[in-house]
Amino acid sequence: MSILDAIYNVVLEGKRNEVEGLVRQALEEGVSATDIIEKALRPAMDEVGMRFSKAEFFLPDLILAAEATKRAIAYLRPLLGEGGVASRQETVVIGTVQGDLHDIGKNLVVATLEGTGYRVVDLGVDVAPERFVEAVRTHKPAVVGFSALLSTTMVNIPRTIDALREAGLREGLLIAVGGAPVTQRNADEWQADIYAPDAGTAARIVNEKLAARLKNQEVL
Amino acid sequence: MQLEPYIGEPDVERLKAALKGKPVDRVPNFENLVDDQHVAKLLGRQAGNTLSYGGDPAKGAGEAVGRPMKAADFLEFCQLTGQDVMVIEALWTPFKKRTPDGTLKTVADRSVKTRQDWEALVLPGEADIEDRLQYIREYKEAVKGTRIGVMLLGGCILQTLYEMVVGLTDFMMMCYEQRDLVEEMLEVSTVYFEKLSEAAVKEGIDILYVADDFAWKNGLMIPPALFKEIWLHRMARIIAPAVNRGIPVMFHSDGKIDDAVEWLIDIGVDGINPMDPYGIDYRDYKKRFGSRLTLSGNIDVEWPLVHGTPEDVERDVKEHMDVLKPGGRYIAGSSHSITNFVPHENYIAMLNAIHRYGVY
Repeated sequence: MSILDAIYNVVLEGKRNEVEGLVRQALEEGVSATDIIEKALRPAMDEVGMRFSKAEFFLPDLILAAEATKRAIAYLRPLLGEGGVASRQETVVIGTVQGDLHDIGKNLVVATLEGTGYRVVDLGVDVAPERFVEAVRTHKPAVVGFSALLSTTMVNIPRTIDALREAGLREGLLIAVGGAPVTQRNADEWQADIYAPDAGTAARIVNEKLAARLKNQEVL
Repeated sequence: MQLEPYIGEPDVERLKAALKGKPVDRVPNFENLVDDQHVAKLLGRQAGNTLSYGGDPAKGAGEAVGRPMKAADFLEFCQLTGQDVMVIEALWTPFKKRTPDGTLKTVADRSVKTRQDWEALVLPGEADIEDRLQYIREYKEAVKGTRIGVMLLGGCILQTLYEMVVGLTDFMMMCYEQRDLVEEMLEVSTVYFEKLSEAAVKEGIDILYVADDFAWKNGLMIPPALFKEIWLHRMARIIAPAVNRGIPVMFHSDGKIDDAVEWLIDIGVDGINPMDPYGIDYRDYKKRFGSRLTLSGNIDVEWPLVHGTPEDVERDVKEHMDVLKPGGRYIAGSSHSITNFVPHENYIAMLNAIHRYGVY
């Protein structure tokens, strides 16, 4: 088994205490940090997310795999130079919208995004539109994510999107939405760019959308 | 829109019969919680929500609020809505921390991350049980001369840990990495609720209602085999005082609980709530479990209750009745609770429709 396979497997198995040693070993064997991320960590998290969505994996599996990946990426980050993977590790600003105090689903999405290598700015719960606006101005994220668990508070998602638009921040920003009552139909109606039906798929869809956007930019 | 007169006064024997699969005159209506603004509109005065007097509707009475709804208010609420039972909230295990000034504070900050944190907690005791029993006595006294019953709602052994004590992500990792600690914490909760159930049964509760959210819309949170090993025998012990005396037991978990339904039947659960529409197809459950288990809830809080019209609500209630009413073992209600964001006319439309289409 190659060292990349070994890293892939420990992430899949959620062995967060073993991953750092294997990453160190891979670097000693001459494997680049970029290859460790792109050929082992991301595919492993994609697989974990897929199995979670199919109810083959459960919350402990998802969270431990995300933790393992987070540790590996924390170890690798200082080694990633300009133009490498690090420059593509975008920021995601995320929060539960105003009036809603639920954070379990949002926290799972944070775990998987961090596990996939994103820098996540978690604004917490009951986040007013102006706080999202301020965070987008400050952190200049590629993606801003809104979570809502209640069907009444989810009306604050389009209100917050409007606030970003009115502040002139909507263009170039990918908007992601999710939460128990939120559907693809809602996402379309609000002109959101990303809808994730569950935490297992959120990171994968964000990856795909950002990769597609990067490709478009390269073409242009 | 006004509440219409209904047939059959509130009678706990109706709810008990529905839970035990015996004939009833009409489908009982039941809600976990009706929020304060609806209660105020029904009663014409502020009386809190049906789980607490002035507190957080999601969390019941709890420490910050102090007590359940006052008995006279709940009684009047039942008489108006036709609900057969008054509910006393005892959902959470009262783990406490000693603060620097020496007072005890219930743990709800998810701060227990290590065995050391756990060992610093003050564990629940007899005084916590007595705190709940006083309200059972108050409610039992208030229902004298009526047919309305008293139900105890408790049993969050798992949810207390991930929601209040440890936090979800750390708790889920603990399940794999520190199973002994998880089992120890669950065991303390179990002993507390075992004693509470036993005492509540002796005080004369009519129905034991246990709740512990262990599922989400795709299935169980924890792998079924592991979950069964750490949880099921404990929940069986909590409900045993009721099961052994023939007192009906209802169980609540949100989410898709398919993997656990047979286990619940095996330990003596008579009915399940709330039949979360994001994870459960009520037609499928009626076919699979309808003769062995009473099904409760499932009228979707989002649609029709929040976003639909009163006509949508009535239609949806009728559709549920068409499927779930034949053969009995059905308790009608929302897919969780009537919170303040449900338009009041939709709540009233639901009650009127249940009473209109629910008569046998």
